[in-house]
Amino acid sequence: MIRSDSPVAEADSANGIPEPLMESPPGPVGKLLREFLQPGEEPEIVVASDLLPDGRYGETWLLATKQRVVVVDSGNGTPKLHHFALADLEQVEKLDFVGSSALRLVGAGETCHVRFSLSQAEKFADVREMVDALRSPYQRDEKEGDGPTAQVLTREELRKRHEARAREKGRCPKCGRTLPRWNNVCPVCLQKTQLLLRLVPYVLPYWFFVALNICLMACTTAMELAPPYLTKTLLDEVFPQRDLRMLAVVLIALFVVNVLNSVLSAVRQYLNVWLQQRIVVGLRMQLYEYLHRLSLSFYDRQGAGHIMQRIMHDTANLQNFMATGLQEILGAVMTICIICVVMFRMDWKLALITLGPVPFIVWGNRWFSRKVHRIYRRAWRQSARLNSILTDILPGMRVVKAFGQEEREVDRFVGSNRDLLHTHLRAARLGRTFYPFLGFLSTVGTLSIWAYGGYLVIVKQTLTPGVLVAFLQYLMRFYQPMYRLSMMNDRIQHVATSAERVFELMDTRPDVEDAPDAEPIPTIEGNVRFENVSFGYDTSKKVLENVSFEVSAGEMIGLVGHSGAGKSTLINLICRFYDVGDGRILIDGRDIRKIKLKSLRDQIGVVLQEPYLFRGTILDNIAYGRPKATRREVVAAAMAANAHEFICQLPDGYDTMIGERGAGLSGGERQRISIARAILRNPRILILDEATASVDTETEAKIREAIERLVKGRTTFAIAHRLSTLRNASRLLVMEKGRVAEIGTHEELLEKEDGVFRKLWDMQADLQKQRAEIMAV
Amino acid sequence: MDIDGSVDVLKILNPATTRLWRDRVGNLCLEVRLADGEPVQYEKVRPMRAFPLSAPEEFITFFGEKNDYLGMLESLDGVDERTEELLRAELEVRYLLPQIVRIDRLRLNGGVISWRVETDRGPRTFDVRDRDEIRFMPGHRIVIKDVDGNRFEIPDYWELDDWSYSQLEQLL
Repeated sequence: MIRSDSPVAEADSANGIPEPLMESPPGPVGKLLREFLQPGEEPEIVVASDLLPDGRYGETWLLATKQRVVVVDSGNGTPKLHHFALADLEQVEKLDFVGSSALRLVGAGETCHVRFSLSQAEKFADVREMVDALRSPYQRDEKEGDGPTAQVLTREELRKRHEARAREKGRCPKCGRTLPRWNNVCPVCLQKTQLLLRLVPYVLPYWFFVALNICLMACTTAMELAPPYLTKTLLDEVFPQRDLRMLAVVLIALFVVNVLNSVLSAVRQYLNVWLQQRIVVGLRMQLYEYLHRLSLSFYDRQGAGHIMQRIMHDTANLQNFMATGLQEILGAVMTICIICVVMFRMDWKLALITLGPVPFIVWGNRWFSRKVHRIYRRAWRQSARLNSILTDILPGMRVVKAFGQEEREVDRFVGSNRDLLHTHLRAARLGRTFYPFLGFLSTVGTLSIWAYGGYLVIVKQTLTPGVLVAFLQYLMRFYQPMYRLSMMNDRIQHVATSAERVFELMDTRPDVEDAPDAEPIPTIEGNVRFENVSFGYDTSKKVLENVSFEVSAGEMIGLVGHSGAGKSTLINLICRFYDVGDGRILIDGRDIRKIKLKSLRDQIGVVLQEPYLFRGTILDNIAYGRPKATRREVVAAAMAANAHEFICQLPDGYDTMIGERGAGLSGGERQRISIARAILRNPRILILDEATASVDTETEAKIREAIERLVKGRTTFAIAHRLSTLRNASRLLVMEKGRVAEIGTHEELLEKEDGVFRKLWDMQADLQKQRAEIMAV
Repeated sequence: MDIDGSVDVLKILNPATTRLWRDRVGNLCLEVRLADGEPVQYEKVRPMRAFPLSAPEEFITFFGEKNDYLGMLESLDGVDERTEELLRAELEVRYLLPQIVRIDRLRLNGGVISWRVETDRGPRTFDVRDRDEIRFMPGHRIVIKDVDGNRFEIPDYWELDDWSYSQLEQLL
């Protein structure tokens, strides 16, 4: 029986989340599949792929139970069936192709390929794993004692995996839609009101000023609407009655209204800026503080550019909206209401005629500006293309000249330039025709109001000239707020997106946090022990598997292995940039998760391959880890790092400013500064990550000398590609594919005839010999 | 440079003496004849296209079980019928590139481009994360990669019907 009607599946489909690996096949297929099952046999997996065996799109169904696997493709009318008893299943293999993949099932005398597009790659990876686990009980006798039996994944585990993957792949975890790359916010699941409400606490401290501002705005709005009314009085009462005194009163009123309006507007605008800055500074500070608490894994997921965008652009966006957006909405609504009330009270028929076409004009304008916008965007893209040609070619000018390709490059530029021209012309044509047309429409509108109103004034005499003039003036003031409101939806969407990103950051819990019972460790001895440690940066791939070893205090351990073997990951775990997945790491017999993070990191020193120097003086950079160090200590550290000499030869000595990433210094010099930085910190555990990889031989000697001084009396982990640099390591740890392959002293490892280390060593020795020969020639 | 003289280095295979067949479970096997005429057989061979987009039928490269380079066929001319058939079928499976024959709908939503299309292999909807995943190639050809890594092709967008073209125009 297919479990689609079981209570579990129902409960989940009610939530809109499909049960992982438990899909409901259409009637006929379901019936076919069901025929295979014995009474009481429950399906473990029911899934559909999206490709047929011949490569067309269509469903191929796979069902697995604890006894069998059945595959049905529903392609050409008559479904094809494959049946494998798990006991006979020899092989379940995932084959990876370009644009699609396949699961190959090999049973007794039968082979079957279930093809699927890459959209289902993960699903079928799970299927493979599950089928493997399901058939493992049948294989025992073949592979006796080959590790623990594979466990069948629970639904809960599958679901968690599913969600984690959705996030990794840039899909909305809620609805599964693809997220835009630039902001990672699902436009559909965005809950605008809720997000905007979360902004309220940031505004609350300034409620008084906000209220004041709104009052001011109400005043200015009212004052802006007064002049037409006064004009009406002028035309309908003052002129016909030839009342000079009234004329003076009205004129003074007009004058006062204008002056007051200007003053209040100025005050209001200043208040706006003041408010904006206050609110946003608070928010930005909070955000920045928060960034430093987050774990490295967050930074792996989000590029630095995106985070910067959040701090600067998104907060600015929010600021803008909180300080002015709200008032703008209120102001626009107020203006529109007042005008409507006034006009309808003066003459409702004329009001209807006057205001009737306004929504259409506003809508047309909006439609058109979107269209023009699209063309301008195209022009923008094309000019970006021109730009990229320039940034691509100019730095490569030597190559262009060396290969004599100047003409071709010019042609390329000319082509793109011409495209840009055409697009601009098209945008201009559209703009030049539509705006005059719009102008023409509103002129026609105005004229027809004059005509109808004039008819009412002259013939019917139901309307006064003053009302007519006032109407036209109000009409002019009506468009602006209407446009504003029509754009408001876009703007709110925009702000809500920013809010979502800012709050998402604030809602992210750091993965690595101090446990409640964590305690500081006064002085680390330096005994490090890994117990069955497994770890992966994401759920689908383990980088370290079952790593166990022990290091005693003061040892220097060289980490050896191909790139991607897990050396850097191992080090990341010692620093606790990430927490282990399984197993534990002990320092001096204490689980590092029970040690206060700060006290752990305080006693670990790191020298990286690409030393990161901050913008500042050399002094600042050396003292980065211990800002309170005296000059003497800094100089001593620099001397130990063999850096003092070159620093003193610089015109500004230790006060030399270094630019971003240490520009202005050579790689070896930067490296020695970073070693001095580590020495000054006097760490108990030292980590050298390819510290000598990027420097020449002479500099390397100096750095090695410095490192030898640094290593003394500390537990050291050193990664090096050049195996010769690890000769004075007490022991070497050879990593292969996330496991510890060998561990031992240099000599011990070399003695192993077909050991991993021996092979690496021979390879490098060969390379060196060849190089020496070439040099000799 | 004498490119013809490098046949041995490149291991360019003689089509007449290159033979493919499948083993019991469906793996591809290859027999080639070396310069000295000695036949060599390899199991679990993977043929790959060197130019999947610009010259899919040329320079087909064979890799062995351990990802070792076995040799290269410059073209399918001259290989026996059975081998050609097998090779075409295998490549067809290895490189899935449905051709888009009609675009029903194309929508841009905050940078994500959502397509609903009719391909030569049936209808399909997919999302493309951004414009960089859409490659404009000579001859009005477009190759698209979706968020999951699936590929699609529009062989010549000038040949599309008016509606499809108007949809596509949002990207041009």
